[in-house]
Amino acid sequence: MKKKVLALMLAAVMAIGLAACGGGGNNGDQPSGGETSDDGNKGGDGEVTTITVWTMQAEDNDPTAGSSRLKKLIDDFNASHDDIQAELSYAKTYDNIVTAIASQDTPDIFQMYWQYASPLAARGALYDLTDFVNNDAEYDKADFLDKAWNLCTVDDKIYSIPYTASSSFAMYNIEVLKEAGWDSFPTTFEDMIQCAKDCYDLESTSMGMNPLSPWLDNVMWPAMTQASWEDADGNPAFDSEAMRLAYSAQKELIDYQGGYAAATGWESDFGTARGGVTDPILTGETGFLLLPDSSIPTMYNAGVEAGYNYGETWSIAQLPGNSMFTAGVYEMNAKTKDPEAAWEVLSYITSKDAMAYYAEGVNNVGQLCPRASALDALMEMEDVCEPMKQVADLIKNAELQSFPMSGYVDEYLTAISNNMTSYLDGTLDLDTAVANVQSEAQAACDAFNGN
Amino acid sequence: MKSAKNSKWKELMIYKGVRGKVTHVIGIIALVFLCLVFALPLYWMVCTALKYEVYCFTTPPQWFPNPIKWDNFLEIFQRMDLAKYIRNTLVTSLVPVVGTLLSCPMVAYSLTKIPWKGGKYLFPIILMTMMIPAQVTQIPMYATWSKLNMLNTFVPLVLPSFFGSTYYIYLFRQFMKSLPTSVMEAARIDGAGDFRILYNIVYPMCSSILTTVAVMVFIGGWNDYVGPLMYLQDSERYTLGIGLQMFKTAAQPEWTLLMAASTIFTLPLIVIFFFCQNAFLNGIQTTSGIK
Amino acid sequence: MKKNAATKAKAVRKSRQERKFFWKGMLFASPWLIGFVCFTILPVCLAFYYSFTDYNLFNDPAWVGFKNYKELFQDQYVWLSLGNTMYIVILAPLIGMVVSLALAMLLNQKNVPGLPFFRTVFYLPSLVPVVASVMLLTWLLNGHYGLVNQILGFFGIEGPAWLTDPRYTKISLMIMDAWRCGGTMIIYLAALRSVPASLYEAAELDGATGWKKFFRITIPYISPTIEFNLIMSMIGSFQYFTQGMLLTGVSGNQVAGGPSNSLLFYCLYLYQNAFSFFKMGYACAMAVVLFIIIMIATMLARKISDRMVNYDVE
Repeated sequence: MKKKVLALMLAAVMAIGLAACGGGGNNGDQPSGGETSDDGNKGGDGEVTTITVWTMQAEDNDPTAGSSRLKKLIDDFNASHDDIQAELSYAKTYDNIVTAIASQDTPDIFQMYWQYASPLAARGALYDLTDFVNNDAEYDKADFLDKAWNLCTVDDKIYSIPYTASSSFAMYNIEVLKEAGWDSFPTTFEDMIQCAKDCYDLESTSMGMNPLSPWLDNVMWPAMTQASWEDADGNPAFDSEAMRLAYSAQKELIDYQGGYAAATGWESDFGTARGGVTDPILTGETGFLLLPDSSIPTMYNAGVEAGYNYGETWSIAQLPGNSMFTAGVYEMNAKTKDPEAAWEVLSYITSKDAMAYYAEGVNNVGQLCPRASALDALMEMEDVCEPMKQVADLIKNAELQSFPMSGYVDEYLTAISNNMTSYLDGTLDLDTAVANVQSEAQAACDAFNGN
Repeated sequence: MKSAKNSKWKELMIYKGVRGKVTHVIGIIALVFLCLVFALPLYWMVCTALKYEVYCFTTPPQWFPNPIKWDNFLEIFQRMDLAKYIRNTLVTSLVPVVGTLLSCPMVAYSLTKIPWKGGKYLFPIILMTMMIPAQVTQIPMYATWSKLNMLNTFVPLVLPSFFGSTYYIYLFRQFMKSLPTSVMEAARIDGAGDFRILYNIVYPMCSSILTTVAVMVFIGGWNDYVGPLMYLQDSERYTLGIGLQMFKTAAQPEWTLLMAASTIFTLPLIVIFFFCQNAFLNGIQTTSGIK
Repeated sequence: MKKNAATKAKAVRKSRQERKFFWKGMLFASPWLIGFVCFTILPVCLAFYYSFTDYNLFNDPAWVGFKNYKELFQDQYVWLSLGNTMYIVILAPLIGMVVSLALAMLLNQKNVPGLPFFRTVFYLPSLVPVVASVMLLTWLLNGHYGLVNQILGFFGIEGPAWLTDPRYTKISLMIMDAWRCGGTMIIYLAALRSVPASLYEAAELDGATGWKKFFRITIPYISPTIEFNLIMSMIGSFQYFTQGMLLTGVSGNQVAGGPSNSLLFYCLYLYQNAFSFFKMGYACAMAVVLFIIIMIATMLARKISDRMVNYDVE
């Protein structure tokens, strides 16, 4: 028994030794003071700066995956630069990243959700990229979409670099709409509501348009009615005609189509079938839905598989009014040891060529990127399906709206989500809900401004 | 008197015989029925793993994949460096087993079998450490490991197990409390040191719970992704748990591949469990033997 | 005189022995003690300190005294999330115990063919990654086409909208947790196995039937294990987080509380405050309050169970 125990302890010690040894030697990104740090792999010859890049995408051997494309870009960068080497880490989550940048100077560059630029910048977590972007002529700041820069600018300073773009569109069943009396997708907001009702009235459909599908989107509907969330001073201004219309229209549709329970029930039944061969739009179960562009490739494939052709059975249209716009962004750690080197890497992976390459997308179905040149490139690609190209065109040219760059963005969005959902399911009336949002948001605004 | 007892015994046996048979049959039926209920989601998991993405979520649901796509599994092997992930995951699963089996029984022994004053007060404190949510200790812990230069190593993932973990300490404590102290007292009187008592007497008595804990720690380490995600940065060290995130991070998760990957990841655990079952369930009967 | 000296000597011997045992006790507990000092004390003390500050993660914490605590008690979402969590705390351990114990008892039968196979099937769900489990649950409990509602429909009952009706969302999660009870089941099985058969035989001779055997022998014998599982499950339920976050699965990192915030659990709201609102001080105050609640609950639970748990099995 004693021998067994000793053997076990020996094994344990060995195992720990191995595990720790394997780790200790490869810590290339530990702070050692000063501008540069030794990259252990390089054996310490010359001064090589290591820049760490963290992405939320997971590691994937598929060469068309987003993370693989990023890896290739990083590898190309490393091959062409002697003095700077970039290290990529995959699959980082939001709280991993926040934990890391809160406590240390790595990662130097990281992927982030755009809405946090303002709160993070206000707390000094991000490096100001304005000068880098403006002074780099080759980088071509104007090539980026203005609406994308809007998501990256706080108080006229640029803190993020956008690298993907997304919007929502109407996807509709052509035959259903025709039967309901609409030859083409409605172009005004009121018409769209009417069209939904007409589609619902048909025998063959179980829903005209479910406002809850995909889920209550607090940005999409106000964008359609062109409502704004803040006034000129950055204070919340939720109570407006347009904002009320955005939500009362949803309520009107919900009540017309069987009530809130029916709406959530329908979403539960058919929501998961979206993108499959029994997608409610393809099969004519519903008239149309407002969906993000990410659902297009799967819907297209499903349509082909099940015999529903794009342009014959179903199609895409721009939303009346404005539509919403979001982007994925990269940001730079304010505590980064070598901002110039980090910018070298960042500008490389978001350059014109890099983004055109990235725009090929997973499985070559296309990825929408916020550079005009990248969107043009996408529209030229052979493998990309027709609807994606249409969407690329819309993103490039259409008037799109985003949630404001607010320092209290999550509190505001949560207040909206909580109260307006209560309004839609009938718990609160419109006045109370709107008033609640306004007061909760104002409280968050005051807290943020330090009042 | 004897004959009265005998006839009562016979009566009981006959009665028990019939009753016993009925209970036996009911027991088996219940077993089969519950087995079906529990197996159903698992069937669906494998079923989805064999489908084409577009048939994954049809309404109504497809009970049998049609057409069958065997390639999903192939794709997993192609897109993931399984060998690398498994290698790393073995480290994060096996080493904690050793750590836990060494440290937790020791602490539990201190709490239950060593008659010292502190034991009473120590256990509630141990229990209290479980009551702080991880979200608030996350950042200081990360900062600590960072200052120790232990980021991107397996150390933050395996070292804590050598210092005991509250759950398993508690488990061993419960088990050890019911062990007869008489044996240990006898050994102590015979002059055996406490380490001797622990390893030569207590460990064998606990063999069933030791194997159970070993399996539980292994499985916990195998499926864990929160710790590895936090502390590992070099993808050469990534574990299976992180690899699984691959199918979740996209805007539209690839469900069929996620199910296929889950199936592949679970298979080794099933095999281990199947073969270990008997080891830890046929453990030495403690009290009945020694009496 | 002689008596006094003897008792005095005995007392000295006893205290020396006590001291010896004290150091022995500390020695054997040393792994945990060292770990506690190295890994636990610092983060816990920091969390406690932060609860009295305004700390946004990036700038130095600013002392504000009890402001966070005052705000906490007036925050409607703190109460809402606490309510959601208490729902789980009260029901989940009980459901878990009943299901695991029932399964363990079924698996402890004699003369059942293919027992290892059954055991594996019941244990399997706890081996499946949580992400896959949640997704399977979504399919099973789909309002219209999910299997559960289809079976209920077979019996003429109209099944509820499990995942969208706020009254049923937590129950759905607990169904999934019950499905994944394999680990607890194995612990119960190990405990059941260690009940000596001789006790059952003796009881049968005295004419005890099934239920009597169960309540008079089995339950008392494994009561330490039951206490363990209940308390562990209770403490874990207070910190319920992952499943809620996975089920509400919203993109863009918005923490969603599910239908009518029915899935907004205390630790989820805590996470939201810490990482989305950057109010780490407030989150730490929430953590301290939770700690106190759990501690009181555990003390109560142990007081009750100490009266009912039987450790003496000689």
